[in-house]
Amino acid sequence: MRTDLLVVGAGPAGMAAALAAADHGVDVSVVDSYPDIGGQYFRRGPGATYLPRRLARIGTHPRIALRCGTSVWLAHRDSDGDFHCGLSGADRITAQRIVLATGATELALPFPGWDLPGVITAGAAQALLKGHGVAVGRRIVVAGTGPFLLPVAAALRHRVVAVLDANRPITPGIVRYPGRIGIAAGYLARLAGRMRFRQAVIECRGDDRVRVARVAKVDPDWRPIPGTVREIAVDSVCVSYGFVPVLDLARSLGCRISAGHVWHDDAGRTSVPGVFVAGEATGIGGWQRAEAEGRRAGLAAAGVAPPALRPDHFADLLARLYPVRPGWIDWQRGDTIICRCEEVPYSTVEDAIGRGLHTARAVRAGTRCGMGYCQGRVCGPILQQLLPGDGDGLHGRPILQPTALADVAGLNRSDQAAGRS
Amino acid sequence: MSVHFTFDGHPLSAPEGSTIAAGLLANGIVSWRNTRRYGRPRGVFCGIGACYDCLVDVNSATAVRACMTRLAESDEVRHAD
Repeated sequence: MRTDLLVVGAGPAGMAAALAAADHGVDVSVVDSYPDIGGQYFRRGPGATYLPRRLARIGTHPRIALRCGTSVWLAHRDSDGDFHCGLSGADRITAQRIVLATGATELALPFPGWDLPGVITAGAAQALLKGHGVAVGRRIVVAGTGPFLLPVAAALRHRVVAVLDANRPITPGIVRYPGRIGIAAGYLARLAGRMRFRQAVIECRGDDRVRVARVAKVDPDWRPIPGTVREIAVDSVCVSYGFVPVLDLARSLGCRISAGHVWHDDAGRTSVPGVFVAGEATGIGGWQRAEAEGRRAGLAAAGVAPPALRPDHFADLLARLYPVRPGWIDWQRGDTIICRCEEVPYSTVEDAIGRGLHTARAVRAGTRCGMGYCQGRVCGPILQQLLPGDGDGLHGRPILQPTALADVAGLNRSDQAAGRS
Repeated sequence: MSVHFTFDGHPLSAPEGSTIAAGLLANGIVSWRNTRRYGRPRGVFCGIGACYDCLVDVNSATAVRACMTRLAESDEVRHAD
């Protein structure tokens, strides 16, 4: 199958990119690994308002083909500049241009018992509630850092016993964003005194699910303050320590990565000709910025000069306000699982680094940390923080998603069918 | 509208459009896999398809992400090991 433009990701950025390009006569295919469009922000759910009208028209646009429930697991650019992608379901697509709108995943820091059922990311809790009306528990602690804790806790407020932010984000800079302060104040009002700063869940205990959260006051570096630990009876703990852009496909295509996100110019062009980027993959900035960047990337991909975006420093401000502090390492015990897939304990990772394995890839090769199903998507950012120096991360995978061998074999079949074996 | 399915042979139902993970959680089931090395119970963690903790077996398919897969009528969902 061929298309003018392949958009990877059907969240606010991807939808806006597809519409902007298609409105200028470009044939667009949109793929997303979830069975529905909308991304993490817009989720079809019971009784929920779903897509705004300006985005909902993507479903009926004559130049847009939607392929939800489809993953891109292989991508390369040939010498003519065409992009060839392997898709789940033993399918493939060739595109002249690509917009990367791959979004972000949540950063979860480990602690003893973080793999007990009932301990989930705040994003997972929100997805279950928004998309399905399912609350993850009846007695919930929400813990981590950053503004995302607030909407999740407020939505679950009848079941939330405490909301803990390990940071204490107070800065004069925030007064430049009165609207954002108003939103936060609204959430806090609904949480009625259950919000605590400089506190963290440092351990969970349980059996077939989490039963107890051990909470400590922490110092400014997040080290637990002795004598402050208390136990809270829970049946769920929702954790969020920020977001990590999803960069696998960008890296696979050779796009330059700068400061943890995809480098791009002021039209959303990456360092690789024909590849554009929008949304959280350019840095964490929220859905409105993602949508604006999507429109920009879609126009640029259609060969139309896009309007300049107003610079948005709010994302930079958030990164400064809600950093991850090194004291989380003090929460670990030797038997704390770092790699959830391969069940590699903290002591093994610590030993490997102590023996002189100073890159994520070396630690992976020496300990299997990051070698499991998720391919380091969860433990990679954690491992990076344990290593001395900045390092290179766990990447460089030619196969981007766990893929059935039948799908890989299918590439060969479609080659033969096209007479290119 | 409800979708009817089984989990390890037990008949269950969930709202139409539910993912397998949402359908199991709505029925009070929080884990549906045990890890290979230590046999630890696992269920949903990231909820958006990244962590692969919520793998489950469905009909003839194995190792399906419960958070990314919608329930279909008469699905036979099984604990994965």
